[in-house]
Amino acid sequence: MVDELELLKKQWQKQDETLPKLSKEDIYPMLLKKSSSVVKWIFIISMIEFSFWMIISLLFRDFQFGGDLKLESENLRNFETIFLIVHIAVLLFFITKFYINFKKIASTDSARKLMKNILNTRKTVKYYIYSSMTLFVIAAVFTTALIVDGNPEAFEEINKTVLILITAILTIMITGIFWLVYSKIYGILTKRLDRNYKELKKMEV
Amino acid sequence: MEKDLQEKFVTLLEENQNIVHKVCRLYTNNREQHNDLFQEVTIQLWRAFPKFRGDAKFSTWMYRVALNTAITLYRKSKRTVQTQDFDDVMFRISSEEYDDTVEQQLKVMYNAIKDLNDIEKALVFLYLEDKNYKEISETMGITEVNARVKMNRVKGKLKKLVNPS
Repeated sequence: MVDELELLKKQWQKQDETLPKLSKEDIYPMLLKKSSSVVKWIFIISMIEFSFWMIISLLFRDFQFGGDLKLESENLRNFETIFLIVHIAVLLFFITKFYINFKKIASTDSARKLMKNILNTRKTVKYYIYSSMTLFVIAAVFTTALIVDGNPEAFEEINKTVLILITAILTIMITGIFWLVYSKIYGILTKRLDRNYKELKKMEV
Repeated sequence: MEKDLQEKFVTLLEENQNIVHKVCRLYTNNREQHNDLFQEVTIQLWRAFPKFRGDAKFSTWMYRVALNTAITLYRKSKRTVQTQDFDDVMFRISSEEYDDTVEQQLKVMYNAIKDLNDIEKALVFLYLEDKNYKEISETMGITEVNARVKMNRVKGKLKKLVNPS
């Protein structure tokens, strides 16, 4: 019986004359063009994500409630300082990790290693986002609690526990919306990569 | 210095461009996408070139970067419908050698390969290029045994597609 794949292989190796032929003059300008690879997009989007959460945390820090509330309690100031230090530490940790992973990406590695390195780089950003969201929820709840605590007369008629609970639920809802948008971006960027990497991993079983 | 390196690179790429064209032919469906992928592979090759050491063959090194770009790095700019005449080009030379039935089977086989997933397609590509399992396994980053097993499975799958009975 004829083996079609073998026949195709013969055919495949004879196709050279049907392939396009580029001259050196065609190739030179190509070296100057900008890449549109997925790695470049991952880098750009990751930088936007790092900046976004940095700005959110700065905005949150400067956010002022109106009215006659006392916002300068010592507890609140201490909390803000600790929160800022923690956030900067988290940011530095993830940016360093991101940079190390990003440097590892090389198109000359095997397909599997290349995919693994790209996915690891992306995962670093994913964990950074999760950490930032968690910190955001914690900060919102603690700030509310400390403000309520520092202004007993203003919140006399409101159940404090309910107020803190409402803040927690609202913050979690806002974070949830961020998470949905984020998952979408993450999914678009790595869908094909994820699928191919899984396919390669499946072969190892 | 940079100019020498550029000259050396462009000469090597010009000589070996068929490898990239064949990867492009398998992974894209029209001339526009073909050129787009060729462009991206060229950028990736040029970026990696300063680290290329003469100890590996330029063509072997090229296979790896070209396939990595097609499978992992390249982002298709837009979806476009396949144009029939684009692939037919490969079969123009076959008509003199084979009868209609065989030619038809080859076309079915080729289309079936184009429908495989990215990874399977890479395996078949390296097989069509007559690469041994050692090179296939090193390019893909899997063991030789697994490359062989998977290749046999893909062959079986293709055979069934061509001869459904």
